[in-house]
Amino acid sequence: MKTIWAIADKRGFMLTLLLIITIAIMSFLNQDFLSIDNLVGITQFGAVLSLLAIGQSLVILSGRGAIDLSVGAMLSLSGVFLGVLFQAGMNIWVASLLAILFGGLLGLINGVLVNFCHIHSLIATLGTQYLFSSIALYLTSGTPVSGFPSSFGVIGQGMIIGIPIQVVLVAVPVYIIMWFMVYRTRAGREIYLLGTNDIAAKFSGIQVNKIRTLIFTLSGLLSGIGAVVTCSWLMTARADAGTGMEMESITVAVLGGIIVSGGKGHLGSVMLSVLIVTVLNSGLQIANIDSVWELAILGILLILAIVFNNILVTKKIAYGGNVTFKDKGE
Amino acid sequence: MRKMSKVFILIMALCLALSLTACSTGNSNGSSHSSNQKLKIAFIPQLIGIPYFTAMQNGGNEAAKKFGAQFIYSGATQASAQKQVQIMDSLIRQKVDALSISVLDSSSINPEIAKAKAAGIKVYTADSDSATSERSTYVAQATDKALGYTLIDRLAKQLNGKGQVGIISGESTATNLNTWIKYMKERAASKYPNLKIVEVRYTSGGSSEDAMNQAQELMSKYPSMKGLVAVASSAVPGVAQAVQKANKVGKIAVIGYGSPKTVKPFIKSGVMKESILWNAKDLGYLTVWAGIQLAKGNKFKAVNHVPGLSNPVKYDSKTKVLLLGPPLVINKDNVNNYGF
Repeated sequence: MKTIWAIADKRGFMLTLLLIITIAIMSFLNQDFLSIDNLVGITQFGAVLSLLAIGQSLVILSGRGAIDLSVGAMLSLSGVFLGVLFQAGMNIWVASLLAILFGGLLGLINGVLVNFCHIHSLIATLGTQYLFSSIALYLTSGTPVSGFPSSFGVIGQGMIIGIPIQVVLVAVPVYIIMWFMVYRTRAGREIYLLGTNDIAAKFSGIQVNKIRTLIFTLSGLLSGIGAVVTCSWLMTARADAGTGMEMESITVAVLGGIIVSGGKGHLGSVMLSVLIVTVLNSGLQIANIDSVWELAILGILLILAIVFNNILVTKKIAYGGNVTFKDKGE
Repeated sequence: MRKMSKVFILIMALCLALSLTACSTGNSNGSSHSSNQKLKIAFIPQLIGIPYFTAMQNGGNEAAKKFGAQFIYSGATQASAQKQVQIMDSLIRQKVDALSISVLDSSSINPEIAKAKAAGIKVYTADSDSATSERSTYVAQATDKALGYTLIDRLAKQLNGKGQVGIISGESTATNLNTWIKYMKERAASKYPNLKIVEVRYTSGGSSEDAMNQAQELMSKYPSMKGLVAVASSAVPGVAQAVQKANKVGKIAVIGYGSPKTVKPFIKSGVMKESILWNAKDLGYLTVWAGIQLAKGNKFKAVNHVPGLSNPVKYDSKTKVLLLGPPLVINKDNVNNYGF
């Protein structure tokens, strides 16, 4: 038994198991669910979330209890920015590029507020969340911007050999680049060090504030990319496009094993949890289960995952593993 | 290690078994589908959990039961264009036979309507239209003209065709409210020369307090005022309360577009005699009936008799609009009959 617990202790294994169970249950609920076409098709509903979740995870990983509550609002505002540029007559692709950079700028504002004005990220990004959404509403005056050329719809609606383009050409490449940056470069290791031991990081010569600011900027850039995908998917720039996505991104990060105090957790597990949440949502919809229950089931899943994790960790202690209680509960 | 691999094999075997059963049942369904399976008719409301759409759901269920179809009512808890797109995608994947939607944002739903059509699903709108889309039909509740005209006719009847009338609307930018007001003015000017619409006031977001203040102002500005019209459903309680507070019940007639549940207390207390709206339950019923006709490939006639609906249903082949019928007049006799 010891070996099973040791394997299951890895978040990735547990999440894979959870994903398989979710798919199995969904297939029971609806016989049409389990087809390759379906399973690949619904990944499009997780693409934008995965972008925001990577940004969110990196912010949380960098420690000091950091969190980015403005990812949804940055997505909304960058999208509206794209819409406004397009309305002013700019080429849609140039406007998209500028919208991504604009997202980065919004993230930079967060980074500066948190690291150089020393406002706690919870408060700073709560503030900018309101600010960004208000500006987005003001710019559109409540009417969504539409009329994009149909070629622009390719990103959000197109398919390559049956796989949504926003997954193959956006979400997956972004994940690979991020994975390489975090796990194969010095800067990436520094993010983890920041999260585990802030002071040690400082003494080892890491420019703590600069790196943290860059991480917030990155979160903004990813929101900007998410905004372009959303605009292309809906063929509309809406001021409410990102509403609620900050909470979704936090949920997915935490379910994926990113520890809220920072420094622990793997981006790969976060991607798995994006898949779980996406399969769950689409599966429940396809099975025609009242969407009132969608959120409740997600809540139960989140709590169960953590309870399960805690049990595993306790078992491991019982079997003489060298896990401390600090690792529990996330 | 051996134990671990056993667990793995077990899981994999389970999945395989599941997928096999899923596939096989799926196939048998597919082949027998056309002959004896119930037609799947879906409706996506703007949001769920509000009395208006619940009434449509109830009507839809009734029609599904009567005509032997399966009614799928699937919406989000918040009015969100993205959620509508996502739900629509799920319904396309379920291969429903006919799919209807109360459109929130036409620009984001139009590509999805095209997608459903390409997948061979009959797509139509109900309750709220996107005229620019590829939808096959729009199931409409009542025409704007009929709503405006009926309200003025009923009010004129209460006032014997004469007196000063004030109008209290919602936002000044709300297209549907402004259209109704336009038709009210048209009707009053052409048919009731002694019925004078003296002023139109707007309220921010149709808030009840604001409506009450505006009504009080109008009453003091025009002491001989005989009627008040609350155009936005949310403005109805404010206007009615203002008249009650001023002790003018019976002296000033209040009318508006309020749902039965909204106007019930005011009809009971006598401040309102009538309210004009449409029957949301019948609209849901008609939506499902229309879906069944579309799925079966039946064409709508210019006038359709729908079993279970008292009024004949008109169809305009030019605009492809299926019209529920004349507006519903809610009064003390029927106010308790509706669940919305």
